[in-house]
Amino acid sequence: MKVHLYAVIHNHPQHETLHLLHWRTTLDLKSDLSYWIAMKKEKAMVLLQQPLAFDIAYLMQQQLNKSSKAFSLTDNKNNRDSAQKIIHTHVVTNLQRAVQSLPKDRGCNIAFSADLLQYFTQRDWIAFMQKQQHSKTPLMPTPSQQEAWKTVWFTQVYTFMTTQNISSQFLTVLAEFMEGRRLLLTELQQYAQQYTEAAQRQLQTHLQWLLLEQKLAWQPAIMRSTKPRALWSPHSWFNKSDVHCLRCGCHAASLQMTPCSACDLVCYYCPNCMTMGKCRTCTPLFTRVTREISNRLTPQVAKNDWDDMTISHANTNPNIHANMTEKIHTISHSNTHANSGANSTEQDQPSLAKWHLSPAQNEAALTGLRFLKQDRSIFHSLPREEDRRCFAIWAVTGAGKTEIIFPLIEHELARHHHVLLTTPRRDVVLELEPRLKKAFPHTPITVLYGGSPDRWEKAPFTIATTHQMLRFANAFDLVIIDEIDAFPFHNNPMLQYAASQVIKEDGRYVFLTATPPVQIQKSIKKKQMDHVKVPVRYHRHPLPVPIMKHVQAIKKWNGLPVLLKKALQSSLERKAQIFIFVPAISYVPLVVKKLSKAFPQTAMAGTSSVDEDRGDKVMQFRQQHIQIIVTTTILERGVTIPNSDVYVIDSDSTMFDAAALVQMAGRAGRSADFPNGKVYFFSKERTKGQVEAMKQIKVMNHTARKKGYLR
Amino acid sequence: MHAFQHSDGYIKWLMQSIKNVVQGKREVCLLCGAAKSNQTTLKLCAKCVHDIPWIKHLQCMHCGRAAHCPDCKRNEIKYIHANRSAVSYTPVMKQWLALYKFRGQEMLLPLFVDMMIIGMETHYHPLLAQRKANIIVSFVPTSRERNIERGFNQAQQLAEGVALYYDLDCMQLVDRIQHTEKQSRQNREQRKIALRDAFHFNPASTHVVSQWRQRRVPMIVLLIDDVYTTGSTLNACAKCIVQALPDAVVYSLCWSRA
Repeated sequence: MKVHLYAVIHNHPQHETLHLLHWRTTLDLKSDLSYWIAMKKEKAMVLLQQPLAFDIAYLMQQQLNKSSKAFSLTDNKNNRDSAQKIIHTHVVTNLQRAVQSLPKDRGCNIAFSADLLQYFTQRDWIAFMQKQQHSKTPLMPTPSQQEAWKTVWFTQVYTFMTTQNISSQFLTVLAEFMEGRRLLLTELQQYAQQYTEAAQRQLQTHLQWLLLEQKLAWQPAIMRSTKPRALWSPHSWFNKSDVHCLRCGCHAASLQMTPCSACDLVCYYCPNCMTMGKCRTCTPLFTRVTREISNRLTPQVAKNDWDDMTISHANTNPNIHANMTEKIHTISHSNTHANSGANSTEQDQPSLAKWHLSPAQNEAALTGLRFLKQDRSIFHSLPREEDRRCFAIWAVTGAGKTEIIFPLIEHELARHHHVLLTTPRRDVVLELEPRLKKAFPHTPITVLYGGSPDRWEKAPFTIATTHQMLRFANAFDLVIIDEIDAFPFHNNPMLQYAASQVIKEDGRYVFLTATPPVQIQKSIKKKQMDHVKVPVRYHRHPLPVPIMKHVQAIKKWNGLPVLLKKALQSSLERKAQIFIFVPAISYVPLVVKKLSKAFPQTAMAGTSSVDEDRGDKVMQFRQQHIQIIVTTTILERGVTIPNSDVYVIDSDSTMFDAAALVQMAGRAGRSADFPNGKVYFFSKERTKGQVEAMKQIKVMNHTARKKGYLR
Repeated sequence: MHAFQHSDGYIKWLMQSIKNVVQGKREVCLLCGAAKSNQTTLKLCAKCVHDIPWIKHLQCMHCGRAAHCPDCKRNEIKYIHANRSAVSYTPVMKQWLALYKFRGQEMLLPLFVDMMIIGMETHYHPLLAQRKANIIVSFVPTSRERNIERGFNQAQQLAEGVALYYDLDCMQLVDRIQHTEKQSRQNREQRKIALRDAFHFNPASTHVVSQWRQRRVPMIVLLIDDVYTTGSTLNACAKCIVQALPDAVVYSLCWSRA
């Protein structure tokens, strides 16, 4: 989009004779004129008549404000024409410098800058007004600028100010709404649509007003990073341009460049986060400004506007002023984990009783609470500070992870903190919603996923799919990420960037996982990340340990292998439902065919990610209409069947790493009634993945036995 | 955040770059990301190519439909000499177009241009036998508001692509005045009413008109659009052109025929 660039001529705060130019970009010129002329009683402004692409205007504004110097008009007090001349030369030199500093990759750049300078050398582009002190109509333009459009502008301003189109109610609503969000203009328009029709029409005016009051900030959605790059980074040797998408963090390699008719230049657009609205170089992203940032941004001009700002959470947090001894006490215990810390937290016991947790869950919750209670400022001097604000709950499959986080959420909500719970999939969000609403009946909960009804709602507690994080920035004190090792979060730089953006400066992460990814395991080992292990299921029976069987690879099968057939027969006699996992989609129909030949009476189905009625088949499997389901890794999590056995065929395949095998093994023996499900690995070779998975399961069982959690 | 960022280290990046250099970058299907098929010039995999319902045999010689066409018997489309389209507008094609036009995946543009060119080769080869200077490529304009909202005009991009391939002149001959409701949300009658006076001849191209008049050769205008549904939009555009240039013959080429 195109915006206007203008400068307000302020008096210098110290010297009365000097003046300063303060450059701004605007979405809606009417707002600006009424703000500076009617509210702030400024004397004059310089307006660049030609609208510019937003990012160009933004960069020029920054450059101009950096290089703006005070200048004097005193000699020409009574001579408006010569005052204009001084401003003219001052502005032109500044603008020339700013134009030179613009990026060279916007396609039409050279032609553009020549164009622009041409504008500046003509005299008619400056709209310069001086407030006439004794006149009744201070808004009359100077005689030399009575061209049609300017006169129109100022009369419009005049009526605009008398009708008072700015509604303070809508301003506060908007400012409140933008708290912790980062949105495109199109998204804001969608929000305004559900508000009122008048709001929709007046949205840009009000947004601009908030920008002027410095409650909002806007930035080009795709821009050049301002940080100087490290010399040793190979990226800086080969990739010259350092452009990235501000919303999803993806870099120039994945950005696309196209001519844009919104700004008449060549724009980058970001294909990665396009599902949430298109980010272009010339589209602005709006964010709410917190007090600290704004003080840094603006030197002396608009400090007075800050009286009605909201106070950041750091000041309201009662914990922040806890005394130092307590801090040291908690930190010393948190690193040595569960056992030793039990005494110091006895006072928490009654508050946990209402959640009816098993002993292992209880202990995990206590450790988590201790992590939340420690003051983060103590970490500032320590290495790898970022990892230290994370807490990993490493709980075996079926341990009841959701129940463990209830006390943590309650703790944060009691301190008026904002909590986000993200999970990878939409159906998990929908499944969690009633459980959490039941657990926290007095807390409003927002549920966000693609197409959810309360898309623009705001509540202290938010449950969302991982992609919804892109709409937030600097919003939450506690971010709980469920299944951190699962698709789509794992190895997805976009979502990881989003996760790093949504958190407040002193916020914390809690990761929930049964199979932590390697980097988190490393951090845990080095004691850089706080963690707790929950080695036992909620029903306090040990995890079923996989049994390895030597069988040919699927490719070489003639009919079913005898070992597999025997095992299946005994499972079917037990009336257990059976998961059969194969490494590739193409094996699914093959295995189903061979099975149906061997067991013609048994109901079975095969499904994979390309199957359109997967939902139906899984549903039937859950309702026990199907006894055997043949599938790939897509069903490795989320499906819980009370009495089930797990068969992994070709478990030596590279498709199955230790994490996948542990997850698949975790499908068996989930319920308290049938805790002894069987898990079989059928393979030709003994691979690292299988050995590691079995080791993980055995170690967890061992720990559980040692701590006395097992029944 | 450190806990996340171990995974994309420089070593991994370096290995990937080496792999790219050694193996050469694999070309992938623009739509589904599978390996590109060798059987076609389009950047698609075998499965996606199979989905394309090419128009090969025409039933209606006027509007280029592959099926029986009751519309052209009504004789409403007077100003367009003939229309040809590359593909039929099936639900799959509708999805493809939505990806490009509404979701804004502009990297699909080369695919659409390639498909247009295939359509041009199969149906309009006599047209290409004409002298190149006699042909001018133009497109159906969108309103300014929609242009700003969407960031591009799909017809313009397609026209520029086709013109570049055949080395023809591409120029905006028609302007859109009103901001009409989206065509895809209207029925036949509504479209007719909405399109009345929606277009006028682009004043910026009047010098072209005078040049043509001097040369006194019958000019061919090739109008380009994405979808031909009732033909009313194209007809309205062609009307403007014919009124300004009485001796011009307007052909149209659309990506798909509904």
